[in-house]
Amino acid sequence: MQFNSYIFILFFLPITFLGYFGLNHFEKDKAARIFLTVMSLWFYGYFNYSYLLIIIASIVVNFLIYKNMERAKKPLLFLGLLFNVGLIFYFKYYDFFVGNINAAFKTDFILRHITLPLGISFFTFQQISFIVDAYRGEVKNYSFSEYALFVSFFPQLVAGPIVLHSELVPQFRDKAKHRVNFDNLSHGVMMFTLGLSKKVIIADTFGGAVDFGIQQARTIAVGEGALTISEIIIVMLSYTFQIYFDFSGYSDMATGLGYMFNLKIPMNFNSPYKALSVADFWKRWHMTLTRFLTTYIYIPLGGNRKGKLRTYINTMVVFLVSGIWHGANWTFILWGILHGIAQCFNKLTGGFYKKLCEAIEKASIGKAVTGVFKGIQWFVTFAFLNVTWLLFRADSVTMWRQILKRLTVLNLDVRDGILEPFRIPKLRYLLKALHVYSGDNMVLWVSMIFVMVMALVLCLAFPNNYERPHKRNARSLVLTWGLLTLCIVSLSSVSTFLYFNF
Amino acid sequence: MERFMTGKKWFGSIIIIMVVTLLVLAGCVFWADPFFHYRKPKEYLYYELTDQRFQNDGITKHFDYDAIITGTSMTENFSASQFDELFGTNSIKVCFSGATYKEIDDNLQVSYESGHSPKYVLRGLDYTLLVRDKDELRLDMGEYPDYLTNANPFDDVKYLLNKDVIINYTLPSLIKYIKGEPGGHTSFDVYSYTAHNATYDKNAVLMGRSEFKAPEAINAATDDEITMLTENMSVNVIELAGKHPETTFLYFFPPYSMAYFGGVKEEGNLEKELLFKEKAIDMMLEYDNIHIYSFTDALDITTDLNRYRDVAHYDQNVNFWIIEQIAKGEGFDSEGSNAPVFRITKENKETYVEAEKELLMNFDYNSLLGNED
Repeated sequence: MQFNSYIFILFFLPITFLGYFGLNHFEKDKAARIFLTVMSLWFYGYFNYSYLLIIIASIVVNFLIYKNMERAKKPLLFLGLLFNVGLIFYFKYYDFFVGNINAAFKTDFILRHITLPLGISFFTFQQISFIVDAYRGEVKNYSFSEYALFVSFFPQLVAGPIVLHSELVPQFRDKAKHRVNFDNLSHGVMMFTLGLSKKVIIADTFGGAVDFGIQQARTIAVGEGALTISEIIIVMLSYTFQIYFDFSGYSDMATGLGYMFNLKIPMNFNSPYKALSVADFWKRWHMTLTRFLTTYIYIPLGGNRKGKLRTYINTMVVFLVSGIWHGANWTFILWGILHGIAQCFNKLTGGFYKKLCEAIEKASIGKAVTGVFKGIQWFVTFAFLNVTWLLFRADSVTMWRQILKRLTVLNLDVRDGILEPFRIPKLRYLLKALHVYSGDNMVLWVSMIFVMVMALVLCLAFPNNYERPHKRNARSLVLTWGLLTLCIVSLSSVSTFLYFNF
Repeated sequence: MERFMTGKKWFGSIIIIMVVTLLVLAGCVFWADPFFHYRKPKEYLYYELTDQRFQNDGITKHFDYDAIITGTSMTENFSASQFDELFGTNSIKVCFSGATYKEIDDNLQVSYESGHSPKYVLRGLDYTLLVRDKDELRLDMGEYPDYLTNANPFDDVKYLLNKDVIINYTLPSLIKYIKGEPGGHTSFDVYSYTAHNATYDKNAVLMGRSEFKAPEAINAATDDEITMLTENMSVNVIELAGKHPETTFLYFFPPYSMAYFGGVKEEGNLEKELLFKEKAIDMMLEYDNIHIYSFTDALDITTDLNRYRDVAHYDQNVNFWIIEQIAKGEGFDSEGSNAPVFRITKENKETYVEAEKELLMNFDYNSLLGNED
């Protein structure tokens, strides 16, 4: 089930909430936990009931390994890692792996076309961290019901944040959190609404333009009729905004839902597009993934303690793993490598650059100069992110290269299909009233530029949802009411059928 | 100074106003019911008819009528009032642009299931959709609003809390009502009418064509195609006529232009297309309440490409003419003229098929390219 669906908002959430706190009210702590787990599994199974088998098997096997950890630590750690990595490999990478072998060695191994169980990347990473911590002796007396709820808890199940057991399980045990807390509840509703708005109102708007652009690139890759410079820039920016508003919106919703159940879920995004370098970006983007990769890969590899060369190698390994984790395609792997290289470049030049800036700042107009420097730095970082996000979205590395090549062909035309998703209803009347030319093309361009600028302002000029104060006043009440109503009625529309003749 | 609320008050307030808001919105949609999902139109509200896939089901279920005009875009420019005048009926026009035979047949079944018993069904049978799987729907054009056509009451929430239904349909109806404007709905002459947006022009029809070449090879009909045709015809066209002898099914093959047949011939498909048509005709002639009309030999129309916007779509005057001809064929001929009758019957079928084949196989399609305009 998706957060942005009628069944989730109008049915699942209210009954889960009432059931959980109802059982807790009668001191049935364990029953409440089991109820929440069962509801979470329903939430997960709603996508596809066959997924349930996979997640339940994964929970049971990991819990058994943990329970027997004391008997044979090393072999069981190894077994645990093998099981989890094997599971994700089979479901996510088997076809990619076999396909590449077939291509490289001209073999004919049969592809299985396995459907990827949703969220497997997330709950597998979560359980790897659990097994490693159990090996280190950091896991104390978890019951099966606690563990099962930790893995399946619906807000963070399918798209993170990657929550650690040490963050969640102690909260399950805290009796004070078993009672309805209206402050948290209000906070949760505000946060959920803002996240939902990011997804439904903003991200999906950009998504329309991206889909059109990518479809166009698929149909006509090069030459007459392929994407033009202006179109590529619009599509690239659109995807940069779409992925941020979509993903951070999801994290906001997860955090908001956590609040409603008195459970604090860690921050996942810290205004990433404010970053002034790629290194800075990774401290702000999908922070729980960066944390996982740092704790369970970078540091065990030696981090920065084994000399400069090893530091760079370790960094590259982390980003390679990150790339592979994001998906089974060369696009993701190359995307990871590019970000790794940028990260290494930051490490290499960061010290010198910092000294330079400090030196300049001491000069008389130094502040102004470093200001300009920062502007340029932001722009270069943002441009790098845009180009690499395009790779992330492209069907193949070839498609990405073809699109980038098109940037050298001077053609500024923009097809209406790319602008159409941005259309602001009734804008024509406003333009007319202002005595501005109000042709349809004008309406579309004004709409697109307005939406882009608004998105950029939201990314750069506002504190992120996690940190902004959620004051309980009339203003927040009206804002939440308006946005939530708009989001709910936007979950369904009267789609225009696109008829091509006949 | 800013006033802060307690958590209890804030949360209580948001829940109450949200519940009230959603109930009011859903209540308005339920009451106005712009897609006629629950009941027939209220006499004092005005309803815009604009969206076939979303409104036809409700129109078919809940309107009062005794004749149905249906089909693809070939039927969109029919005038329901002209039909009613000639046939003495009260018709609805429920076209589904681009629809397969199945989609149109599903809608006709809804009519009978909802207790209607139409005297006439006027329906176009496109050549292009003849050989299709009997279950095929056009999934390439967008998502079907299943929540309107299925029996599940819970997914009606997608209708009741739907941004477009509220803003584009319900609100205008309510505003007109408050302003005191009279009730009613878009007439079935205007609903689905597209001719005002189209340019009928020979150059558009012949765009990109410099000649009609002779076919490189003649393609034979495959067994799969024959099976598909037979199943499609029997399930989606004929079955209903067998079940409802009280209805006369006026089925017609739309007069596509000769440029269409020129193209089909060039591809080497004309022989098999005629074979398909003949098979379809044979199957329909089994039922006395199916009356078949075909207009291929109305050359003054089919060779006049300025009456088309592409090789198949004719202008609204052709639609007018089609209804006139069918009315004559059905004996509703007010003028008593002895114009040709385009109906195919058991008696004239063999000669008709022969003559049509003779015409289409030997027609000089390149004469259509002449630059007399």
